[in-house]
Amino acid sequence: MSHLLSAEKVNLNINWLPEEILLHIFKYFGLNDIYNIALTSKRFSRIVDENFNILAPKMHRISLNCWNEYSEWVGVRKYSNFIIDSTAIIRFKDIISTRSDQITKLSLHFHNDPFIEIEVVREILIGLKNLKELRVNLINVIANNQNSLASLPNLKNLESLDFYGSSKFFNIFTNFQFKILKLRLYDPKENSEIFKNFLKKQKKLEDLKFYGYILPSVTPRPLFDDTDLDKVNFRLKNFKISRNPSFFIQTESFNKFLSYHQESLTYLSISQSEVNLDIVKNFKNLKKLKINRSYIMMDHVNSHVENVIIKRSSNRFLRNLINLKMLITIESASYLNELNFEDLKNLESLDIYASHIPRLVIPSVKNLKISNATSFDVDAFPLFQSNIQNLSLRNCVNIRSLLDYLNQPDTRLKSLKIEDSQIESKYLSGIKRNRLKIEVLEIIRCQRIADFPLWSYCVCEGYLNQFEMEPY
Amino acid sequence: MQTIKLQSSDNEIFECDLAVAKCSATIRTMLEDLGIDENSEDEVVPLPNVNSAILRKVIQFCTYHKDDPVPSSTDDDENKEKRTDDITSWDADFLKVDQGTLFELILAANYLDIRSLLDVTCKTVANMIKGKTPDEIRKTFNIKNDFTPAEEEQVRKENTWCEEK
Repeated sequence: MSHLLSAEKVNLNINWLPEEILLHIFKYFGLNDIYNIALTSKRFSRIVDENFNILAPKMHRISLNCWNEYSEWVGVRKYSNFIIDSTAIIRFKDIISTRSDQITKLSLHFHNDPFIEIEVVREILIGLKNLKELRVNLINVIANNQNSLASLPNLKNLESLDFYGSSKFFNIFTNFQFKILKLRLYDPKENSEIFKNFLKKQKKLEDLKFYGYILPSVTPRPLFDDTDLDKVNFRLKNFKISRNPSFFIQTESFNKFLSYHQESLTYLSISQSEVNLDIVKNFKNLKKLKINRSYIMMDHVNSHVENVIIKRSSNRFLRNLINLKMLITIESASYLNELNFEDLKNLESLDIYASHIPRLVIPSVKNLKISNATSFDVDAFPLFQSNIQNLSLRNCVNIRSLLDYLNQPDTRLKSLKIEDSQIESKYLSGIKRNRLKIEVLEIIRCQRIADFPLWSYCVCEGYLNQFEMEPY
Repeated sequence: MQTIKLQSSDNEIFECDLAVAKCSATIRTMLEDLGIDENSEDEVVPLPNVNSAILRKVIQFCTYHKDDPVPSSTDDDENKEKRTDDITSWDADFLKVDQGTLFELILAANYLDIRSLLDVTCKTVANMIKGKTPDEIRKTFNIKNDFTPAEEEQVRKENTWCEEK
């Protein structure tokens, strides 16, 4: 290689540097700088791409999930995390033959045609000795050979599985010990025994997400249908159960399963299910509940749960959570009237995502966030002015009644954030008039704020941000 | 003290210490190949790829560093963490030059095969890039963005999946 440096003064540009020197420079970069340099120009992008293993030996990369052009596969060999779809799986087999030890995460998506034989999946997985996390969608997988359904040899590093498919194909994992398992069986009726026997053998499982009812055309046989599962050797910290309507779950069996995890469970998520949660009254470490489109029965008082996220679900059970500190309620406004917030004396933070805010009595809450509200009852917050210190409004309209609160002389507000909402500056004048000790005022992407009297104090472009009020 | 004569691309002759000249692996090889020994006082080593201004700087660098230990081959370990915050104050002052001169020094270091000069100049450029956004990098080095929006989005998408081990 020769790069002539003549006596004439030449205005050298970095692009004059040969590739080997640029590579020498790029070797000093971490991940973010490599990412940024690749976005600078086509030449730099190509150099980064072609030398990825040299530049970033400590990195791995998850590729995109669909490649249609073979040319895109040339660079794929550098990756150690893969998301592969069914059209690409045959090519992938060739690639992993040279990279099998370096692949730690893999996601196989077999959506749409063509159908893939389970034997292909077996061949791929057997070679991945260092695989830690696996996600498989085996909906379109077929088995032409009974032997191919035998359990795979244990991959000792594999500790996380996200499985979507039939019980028949789940059989290939029955020799494994998982720490994290997300299971979506679309035909639990067929082989529920396989899953139960699998659970009985598990010793490390800490995080289980179980989806019961997947395909509407199949009448499933539930996991919690009898007392088969009378003992397990693992203790869950996180448990999610989804798609278990009333006809699909038996309270006694479900409660028995939950009771095994009485000491360990910290997070419980119920989605599209109907369950009685009375049993959790004694779960001392259960601090977080997430309820989504579900019906929860709870007649006993629970003094342990502190955080709840509830979406499109009835609120009634909340009254029994006497130590509830933080509540996020999403699209559940029609149920808000069911709830008397006065029962929740320890509630500190309330987030409401709802189009209509009905009349609410929330005497003790310190942090209130309201999103996507387009209408408020006239007296939506009759005791609103009491204790709120941090108020956040996002994507709201007609919030005048709320902002009238700012005109109350005894307001304790410390922080006010209004984002993407319709307000007029006159509603904010109370801040100045009442000399509120607001520490943080953020008004972001709001209309009609141009004549806001405090505007002159602000140097931000288009909005007030982290504006600290000075005494007037 | 033995000296040697180096001729720049613009025909200027520099007489310098032989030990200084031998900081360059290219010059060492040329001396061997051309049969120039330590007693050949009138022989001139031509360096047609380096102009006088840059050669003067190179000699200045090598004179200061001539007694430095030669980096071992293990220092080239690809897996070793690459630092850019270890440039000495003398080197930093030496490299307070305009971009064109800096790139010329890099090319000269590469041509003359002076590892220590190549490393410190590349580190200096790396420091000029580190922490900058693609747009800031382009502005710093006057690089034209030749991506189409679709191409840029594609690169962005691919790299979004990057993560540290």
